[in-house]
Amino acid sequence: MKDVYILAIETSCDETSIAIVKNGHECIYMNVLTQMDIHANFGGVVPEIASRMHTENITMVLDDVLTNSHMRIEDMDAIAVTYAPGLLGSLLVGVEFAKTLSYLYAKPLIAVNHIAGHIYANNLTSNLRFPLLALVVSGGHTDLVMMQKDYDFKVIGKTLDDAIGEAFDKVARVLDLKYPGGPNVEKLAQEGLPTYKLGIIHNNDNYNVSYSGLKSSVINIAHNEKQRGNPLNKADLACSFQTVAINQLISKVKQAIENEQIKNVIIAGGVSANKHLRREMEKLCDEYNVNLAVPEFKYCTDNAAMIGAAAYPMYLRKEFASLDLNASSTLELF
Amino acid sequence: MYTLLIDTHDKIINLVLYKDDEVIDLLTKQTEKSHSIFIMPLIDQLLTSNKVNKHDIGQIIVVNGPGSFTGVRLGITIAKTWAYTQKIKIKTISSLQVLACSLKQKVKKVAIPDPKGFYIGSFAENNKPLEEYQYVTSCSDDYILEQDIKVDYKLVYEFLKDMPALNPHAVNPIYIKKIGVEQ
Repeated sequence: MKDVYILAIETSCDETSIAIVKNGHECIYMNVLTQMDIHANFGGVVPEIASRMHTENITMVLDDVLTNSHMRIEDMDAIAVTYAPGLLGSLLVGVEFAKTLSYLYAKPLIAVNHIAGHIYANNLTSNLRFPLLALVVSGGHTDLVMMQKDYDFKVIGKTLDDAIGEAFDKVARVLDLKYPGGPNVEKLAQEGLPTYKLGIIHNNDNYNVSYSGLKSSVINIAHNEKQRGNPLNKADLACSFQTVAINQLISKVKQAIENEQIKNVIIAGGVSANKHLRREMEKLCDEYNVNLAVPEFKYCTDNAAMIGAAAYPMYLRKEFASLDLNASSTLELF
Repeated sequence: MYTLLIDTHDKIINLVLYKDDEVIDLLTKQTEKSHSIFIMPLIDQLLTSNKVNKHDIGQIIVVNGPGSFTGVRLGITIAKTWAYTQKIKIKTISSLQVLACSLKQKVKKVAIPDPKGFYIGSFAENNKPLEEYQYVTSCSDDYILEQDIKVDYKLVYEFLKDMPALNPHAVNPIYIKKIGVEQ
C-alpha cells in the first residue's frame, strides 16, 4: 500500500506544533514551539496571549518543518488539526491555518480530538494492541477507557471531581511552586518522603477516582503547620501527595486488570510523563503479565505528531471535515 | 492580477475580489456565530462564482485590526498562510485606515465602536495616520463612526498600491486595547 503522509497541527493550549507523520506511526519531523516561559510570568497560561503567539509563529513553524523534512505540502495526503477540546482562541488559529492549507492544496482535512491524540501518541512508539485499557491522565482528564478497536471508547471509570493534573497544579500553588505546577511537584517529590498522612479514599465498588479531598487534605496540612508555627517540609508533602494520588490510580487499574481480563494497558495524556506513575504502572503490569505501552516523553506533552497518529485511522476511513469546521473548547471524545 | 481583500475585524465578514485595481466582486456576511465556520467557504464561493482560480490570486490584502481580537486573528492567519505558501504579495491596512480612505476631509477622525468603548484614529488627507490609534471609553462628536461611513474598496486599493509588500511571517494583528494581564 502507498505510504500516507499527514501534516498535523496542534495549537490547543500553549504549544504551537506542526509535524509530518508517516502511516500514523512514524514522525518524520516535528517542531514544538512552547510558550511556557512567557506564561510562567503570569503563573499560568493566559488564553489571549497564547492565541496571539500561535498567530505570530505558526507560519514560521511550518517553514521550519518543510525545510528540515525536505518535504512539500504537495507531498502530503491530508492535513490534520486539533479542533477540540482546548482554549477556543488557540484552537481557532490552528483550525483556520489547517483549513487554508487544505483549501489551497486540495488536501483532505481531518479534525482530530486532542484526547484521541494523546491515546494515539502510543502508536508513535509501539502499536496499539486491542482490546486495551487506556489510562487517560491530564490537566482535564482522569479516565479509564476500554477500547475494543480503533476509535471505540468505553469509559469504565473517571474522576468524580478534579482531574489528576488539575490536582497537581493546585497542590503546586499551595507549595508556592512555579508554573508549570505538575512537573514541579514531581521534581520536588523526588527529594522527599511520604511522611505526611493524607486522607485516602476507600472505594472498591467501581473504577472512579477522586482528587478533591486529597487536595483539601494537602491544603489543611500546609495551613495547620503554619498556624502551629511548624516548618512545612514541602518536599515531603509533595511526595506524600504524589504517592497517594498515583496509588489511587494504580489500585483502580489493578482492579480493572483483575476483573476485566485485560492484557494490554496504555497510558495517555500529559501526566503520563510522570516518572513515578510510569514506574508504578510498570511494576503492576509486570506482576500481572500485562503489556504496558507508554508514549515517549516527547509525545506525552502536547505535540502535533500525536495528532498525525490519531488522524491516520480517520484517513483510512475517509472521515474528513469540510471548510466550515469550527473549533470547540469543550467537545469531548467520550 | 487578482487581489483578495479579507476584512474580519468585526461581526461582518467583508471579502473583496479585485482584478488589477478594479473591484469585481464583494461578499459581505454578518455572523452571530464564529467567523471560522464562514470565512473559508465564503472565500471559495467568491472565487468560484467569479471563475477565478485560487492559484491566480497574486496578492492578499488583510485588515489587521483593531477590532475583534479573534476575528482579526482568523483573517490574519488565513492571509499570512496563503501569502507564505503561495509566495504571493501581502499587504495590511488597519480597520481605521480603511474608513479614512473613504473620506474626503483634510483631517479624518474615525471611530470603531465595540461593546465597551471606541477604537479611534486621526488621518491626514493622504490617509497617513496623524497619531497613534487609541482605545477610549467615550469619544467626541467630531469622530465619524464606522457605521456612518460607506467604504469604497477601490480607494483602499489605490492607497495601498505604492506600499511595499510585507514579509508574511511578520504580518500580525494590531490589538490596541489592553487585556487583563497588561493592565
